[in-house]
Amino acid sequence: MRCARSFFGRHLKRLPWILWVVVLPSALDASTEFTKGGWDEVPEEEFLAESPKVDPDAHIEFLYRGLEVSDTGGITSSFQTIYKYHYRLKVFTEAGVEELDKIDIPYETGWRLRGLKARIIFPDRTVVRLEREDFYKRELFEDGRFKGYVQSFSFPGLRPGCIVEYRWTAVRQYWIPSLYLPMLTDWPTWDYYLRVSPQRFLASRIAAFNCRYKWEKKGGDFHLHVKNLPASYEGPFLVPRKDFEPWVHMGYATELEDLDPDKYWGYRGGTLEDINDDYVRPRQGAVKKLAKTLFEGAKDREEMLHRAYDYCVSQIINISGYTDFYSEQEIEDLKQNRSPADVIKRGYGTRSDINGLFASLASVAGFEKAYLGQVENRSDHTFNYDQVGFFCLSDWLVAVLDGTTWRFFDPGSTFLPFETLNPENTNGRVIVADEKYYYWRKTNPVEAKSSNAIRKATLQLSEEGDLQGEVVVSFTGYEALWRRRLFAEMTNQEIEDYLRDEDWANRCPRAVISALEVQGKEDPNQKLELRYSLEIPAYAEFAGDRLIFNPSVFEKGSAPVFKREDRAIGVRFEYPFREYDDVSIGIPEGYSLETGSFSDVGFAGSVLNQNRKVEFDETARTLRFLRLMVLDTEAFERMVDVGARTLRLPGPPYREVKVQFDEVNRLDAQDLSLVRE
Amino acid sequence: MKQFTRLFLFILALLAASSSLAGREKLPPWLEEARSSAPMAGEAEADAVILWDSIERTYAGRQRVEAREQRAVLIKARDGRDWAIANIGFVGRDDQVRSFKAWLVYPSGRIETFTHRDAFTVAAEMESLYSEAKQMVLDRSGSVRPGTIFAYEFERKEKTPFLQDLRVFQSRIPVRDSRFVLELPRGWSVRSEAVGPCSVVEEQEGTRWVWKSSNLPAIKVEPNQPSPLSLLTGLRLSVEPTGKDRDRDDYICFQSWNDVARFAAGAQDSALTLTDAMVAKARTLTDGARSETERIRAIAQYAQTVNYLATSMDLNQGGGFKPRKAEEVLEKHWGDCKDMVALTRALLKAVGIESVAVFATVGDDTFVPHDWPSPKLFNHCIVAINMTDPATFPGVVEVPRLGRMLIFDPTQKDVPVGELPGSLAGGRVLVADESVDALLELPAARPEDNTVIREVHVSLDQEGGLVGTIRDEAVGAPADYLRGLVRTSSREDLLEFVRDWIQLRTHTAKVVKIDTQDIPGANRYVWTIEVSAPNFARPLGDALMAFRPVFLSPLEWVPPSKEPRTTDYIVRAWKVEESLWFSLPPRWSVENLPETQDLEASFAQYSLAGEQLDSQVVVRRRFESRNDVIPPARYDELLEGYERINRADKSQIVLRADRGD
Repeated sequence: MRCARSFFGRHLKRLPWILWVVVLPSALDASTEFTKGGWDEVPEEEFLAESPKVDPDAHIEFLYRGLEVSDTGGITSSFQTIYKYHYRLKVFTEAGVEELDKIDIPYETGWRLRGLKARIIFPDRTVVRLEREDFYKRELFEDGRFKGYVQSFSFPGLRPGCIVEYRWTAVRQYWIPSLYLPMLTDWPTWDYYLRVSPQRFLASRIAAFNCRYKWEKKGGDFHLHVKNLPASYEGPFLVPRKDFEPWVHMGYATELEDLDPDKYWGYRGGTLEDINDDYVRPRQGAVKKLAKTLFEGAKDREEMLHRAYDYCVSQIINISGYTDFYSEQEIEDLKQNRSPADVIKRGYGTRSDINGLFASLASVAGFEKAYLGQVENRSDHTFNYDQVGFFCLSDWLVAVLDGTTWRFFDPGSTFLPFETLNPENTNGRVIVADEKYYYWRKTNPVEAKSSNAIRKATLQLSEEGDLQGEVVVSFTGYEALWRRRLFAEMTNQEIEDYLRDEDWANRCPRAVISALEVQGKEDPNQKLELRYSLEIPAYAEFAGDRLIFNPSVFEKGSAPVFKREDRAIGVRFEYPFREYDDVSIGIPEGYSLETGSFSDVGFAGSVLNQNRKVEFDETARTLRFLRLMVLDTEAFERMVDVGARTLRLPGPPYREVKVQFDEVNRLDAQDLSLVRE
Repeated sequence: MKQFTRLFLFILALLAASSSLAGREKLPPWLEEARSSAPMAGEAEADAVILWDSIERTYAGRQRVEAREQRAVLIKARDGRDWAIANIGFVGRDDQVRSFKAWLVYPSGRIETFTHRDAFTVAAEMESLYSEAKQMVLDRSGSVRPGTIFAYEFERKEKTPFLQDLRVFQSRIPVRDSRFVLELPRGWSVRSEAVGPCSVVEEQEGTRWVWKSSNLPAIKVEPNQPSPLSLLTGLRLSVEPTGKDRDRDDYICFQSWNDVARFAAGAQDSALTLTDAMVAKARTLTDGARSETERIRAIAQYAQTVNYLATSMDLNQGGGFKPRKAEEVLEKHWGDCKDMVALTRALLKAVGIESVAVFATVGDDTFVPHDWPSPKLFNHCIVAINMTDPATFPGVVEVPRLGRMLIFDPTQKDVPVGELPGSLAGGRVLVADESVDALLELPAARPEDNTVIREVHVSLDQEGGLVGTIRDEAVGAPADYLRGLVRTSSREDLLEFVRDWIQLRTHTAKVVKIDTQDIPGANRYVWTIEVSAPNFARPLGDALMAFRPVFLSPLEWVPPSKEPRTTDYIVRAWKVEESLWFSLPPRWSVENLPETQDLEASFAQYSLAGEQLDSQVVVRRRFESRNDVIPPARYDELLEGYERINRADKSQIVLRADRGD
C-alpha cells in the first residue's frame, strides 16, 4: 500500500474531474481487506513465514519497522519534531504472545500523540481492526511540572502465527539540536525504514554508523532502507554499543562548514573556550584571595596543586554526587553558582563548578595553562575523528599544562584521588582549547597494579565441616572507587546485606556475615577496608573419613563469567585489576591434609593469569591458601587496536577470552581433602 | 547617603526578621503531642518507630465518606529512612486525596513543610491495560537523619456503597499509639472485632466510636511465616446503616457469607449474556465431544487461551467484582480472571452446563477468616463447574447444596483441566451462589501432588567428566511449571536454563539435547536431558577423585537460626524421589559411599543410601515434605531436620584409581 498510496498521490490528482466519477469507485473496489483503513498491503512472504527469518530463535520479528522523523517546524516559533512510527510484527511462539500481550506507547509533557491505529491479521488472513474504545489512555506520572502518559492496547485473540500492525504519530513541541537513533530493538527486523527530514533552515549532518547501508537523499530528506537487522545484542562485558550496533546520528550546526570534521572540531574548540570563560576565572578576587591563604607556605607549585585539589574535594560539597550535608530539599533550593567566586563563597558546587574552581586555582598556582577539557567516555563510544557530534568526547576534565606535559584531573567526580580519572576516561582522547588553538591529547592508561582487591580470611574449620572466622577485604584504585560510590548512601547494615547478597549468597547459600566494619569509606586516598565475621555451616563436605572443601573461599561456587560458547561481539573490561587472596584455615583436630590432594598449578593467559599455592603448617594445624589473579587489560587494548585496524572486529575475540576465564574458573573450583588421622 | 544606607540596612533587617519568622513553622497539635509521647519497650533496637497513626472515618450518608489520616514516624537510624515515604493509594474520581501536608522535624528542631506540590502521583497496577488506581508519593527518605520525625496528614473523600473496614494497628516497626475513629450518622450501628496479640480499647460516645491500641511491638518478617493479616493486631468493622438509608442510597452490607455470595453472584451473573456468537462458539468447541467431561474440557481449554490482561475501573463501586460482558471477552479474546470466568460460564451455559463463579485469594497474603464475611478478602476469581459425569479429577470437590463441582482457573494456562492449581490448594474460597452460607476449604496439596521422580544414568571418565541422561518426571505443580517453561521459552533460552540448573553443582555443563513429553491426563511432564559435564568429579591428587552424587536440586537452604523464631513456620508438601546411577571409569574403584541416612520427622521424611553394583554406584534419595505448621517452640526440631538433610545432600563419593595391575 505504500506503493499504492504514492501512486494515487502522484497520478490521481492529475485526472480530469469527470474521470473521478469513474476512477474513484473502482479504486475503492481495488482496495483489499488488508488495505482498508489506509494500511499497506501485506507481502505474501510475510503471510507464509512459519518461522523467524533473521534469528531462528526469535519469538517475534518485526516484518516492517518504519520511523519518519520530520523536524520541519519554524525556527522562530512553534518548534516541533514529528515522529511517525509504523510497526508490523509476526508472532511465532507462545512466549511471543506473552511478550506482546499489551502494547504501551508512553509519552510525556511536551508531546502529542495522534493517529494511533492498530490491527491484527490472523493466520487465516481475517483482519480485526482496533476501534477507538480499544485504546486506553492513562496518566502514569504527575509531579506538578511534568506528566507522563501511556496509551495501551491489546490485540484481540493474539496467538502464534498472527501478524500485528500499529502506527502512530508523536509530535514533540520543541526542537532538538541532535538526534540519536539506535537501529536495533528487542526483536529482529526484516525491513527497516528510516526517513529523516531535517530543519531546512539549518545546516545538518546525518550519519549511520556500523552499517554498510547508504543514505538516499531526496530533496532535503534522507532515506535509509535496511534489511534483516538482528535484535539488540545482550551479553556480559560488551564493547560499547555505539561501537558495533548500527545507529544514526543527526546533528545541526549554524554553519554548514562546521560539519566537516576538521571544522567541526574547531567549532567544538570554540565552544570549549566559551565554557572556560565562564567556569575558569583565575583573576576573580575571591579566587586570588583563597589561593593566597591556601598556598601560603607551599614549597612549589606542585604542592599548591595538591592543596588546591584537596580543597576542592574536601571543602566544597559536591552536590552532583551523594552528600549527607544537605537534604534533598535543601539541594533543590540551593542557588546556582555562576563563577568560581560563588563556589568559594557558598561552599558547594556541581561537578563542573568544582572542576572550574580547581582549574582557576591551578592557574593561580602558576601552571602554564589550566582549562576544562572534554574527554572520551570509552564505555559509551570509542573516539573516531570523523564521527562528529556531542556524543564524541562527552565527559569533562581539567587539563593542566605542566611545562610541556599535560596533566589531567577530575576533582568534580566523587572519590577520585589526585590526578586520577574515571576508568572510562583513561587512555582516551582529550580536546583542550585556549584562546587561539585547540589541542588533541590522550589520557594515560592504567596498570593492573593500581587497582587491587586484597582478600584475607582467618578461619577455623570444625569437625562438622562448619567454617567460621574473620574476613578483611581491602580495595584500592578502581576496585575501591566503584564500591565507594555504591556504598556512599548505604548504612553498614545495607552494605552487609549487599555483601551477603552479591558476594556470598549465590556461591555459598548458607553464608552468614555479621559485625561489619567499614574503613576508608569516604577518603579516596586511603584503601577501602571491610572487616566482618563469616560463618558458613556445612562448608566442607563429608566423604567417609575425609572432609572435602574448596580453600578458595572467596571464589568457591563462582559461575563461569562467559556462558555462551561463542559470540560475534568482543569483550571489554573497564580497567585492569589484581585479586590477591590469603586464606588461613585452621583444621579440626584429628585431621591432616591429604598428600597430593591439591594442585598448585596456575594459569597464564594473554589477558588473565592466576598463581595459587597451598601451605600446610602441621604445628599450627593451619592451612594457608594463596591466590593471585591478574586481569591485564593492556593486552585487551592491544587486541582492540589490532581488531579495529585489521580485522574490523569490535573488541578482542570472545572465544579467546572465554577460554582463559573458563580455565581460571576451573582452578577456582578445585577442592582439597583432609583425612582423619 | 548615610541616611539611605541606614534605611537600606533597616529594610534588610526587617526582611531577615520576617524570613526567620516564616521559617519557624508551627506543627499541628497532634504532631506536637506525638513528638512528646513516651518511648515504649523494644524501641531501642528499632530503626524507626511509628509515634502516631490515626484514621478518622466519617460516614456522611449518600455513600459519602470523609476521612482524615495522620501518621508520624520517628526515624531512629538511617536504616529506617524508607519510613520517610508517604505512599497513599486512591482510586479514580470516587476517591480523592485533599489537603495533603507533611513535615520533617529535624533533631535540631528545624522544620520543613511539604504539600501535594512536593509529591508526585504514579499509576498503580502498571501491568494492567488500564487501571484507575493511583498512588500519591512523597519521598523524603533522602533527607532524614537519625532523630528526624517524618509526619503527614491528609483528607480523603470517597464515594462507595461498601461499609466495611479492615484496620491494622501493628506494623514491622514498633507503634506507640494507633487509633481508628468512626463517626456514623444517627441510627447507624457498627459491628467490630479486634484481632491479634495486642489489646484494643473501644470507646463510644454518641455516634462516635474510637478504638485505640498502644505500645504495639514490631512484628518480625520471617521466612515461611503465616499471612501477616493473621498475625497483626487489627480491627474488623462492618457498619450497618438504617434500613431507610440503606434502601435509599443503595448501600451494600454483609452480615453473612451468604450476603457476600449473593453480591458476588449478582456482579458475575450480569455479564453472562448468551449471544448467537457465543452459542455458535460453544457449539463449535464441543462439536464431537461425547460426554459432559469432554464438553467441559473443550470449553475450559479454549478459555485458557484467552490472553490475561486486566482493566480496573469503578473500584470503589465494586468494579473489582464486575466482569466485562462475556460476549466482549469472546470478541476481544483478552481479559482478567473475572472476565475469563464470565466467558467460561457463558460458553458452558450455551451447552447446558451450569457453573458458578468462585472468589479466592492468591499471592503472599492468603488469610481468609471464617468470621468476617467480606468481599475485601478476595483478589482472584475462578469457576466451579457442575459435574454430573461420574469422572473423578483432583479438581472435583463437593460443594454443600450444589454437589460435585470441578474447580477450574482459566488464568492458569499450564494446569490441565481437571487439576487443582497449586496456588489454590488448601485455600478458602467463596462459591458465589445464593445457596452458599460458608467458605469452602479446597483440598490441600499432598506430597504426591507435588512430586519429581528423577532417574539419572551417567558415566564418569578418567578425568572426572560426566556424560549421560537425566530423566525428570514431574507430577502436579512441578509438571505445570515445566509445561509453562517449555511453552514460553525459545530453544536457546530453555537450553540455557537447563544448563544453568545443572552446572550449579557440576561447575560446567553442556546440554546436548532435551526431549519433552507432556502427559496432561495424569498431569505429568517428563523431560529427558542428555548432558555432559567435563569437570564433574574433582581430582584429589592423582589417585583420587570425589563428587557429590546429589548434584541436582539438593537442599541448599536451611532456615535461619541466628535469632529466636517468633512466628509459626509453614511447611508445604512436596516430594522428590531420585535414583542416580554412576558408571565408574575403568580401573577406578569406590573408596567410600555416602553414609546411609534415615530421617523421620513430623514435617518431613528423608532417606539417602548408596551401594556399588559391579562397575556402577547407585544412590537412592527420597525427600518428602509434609504440610505442617511448626510453632516457635518446635523450631529447633525443624532446624535440626533441615540441617541433617542439607549435610547429607552434600556428602561425597570418593573414587580411587586402581594401580595394582
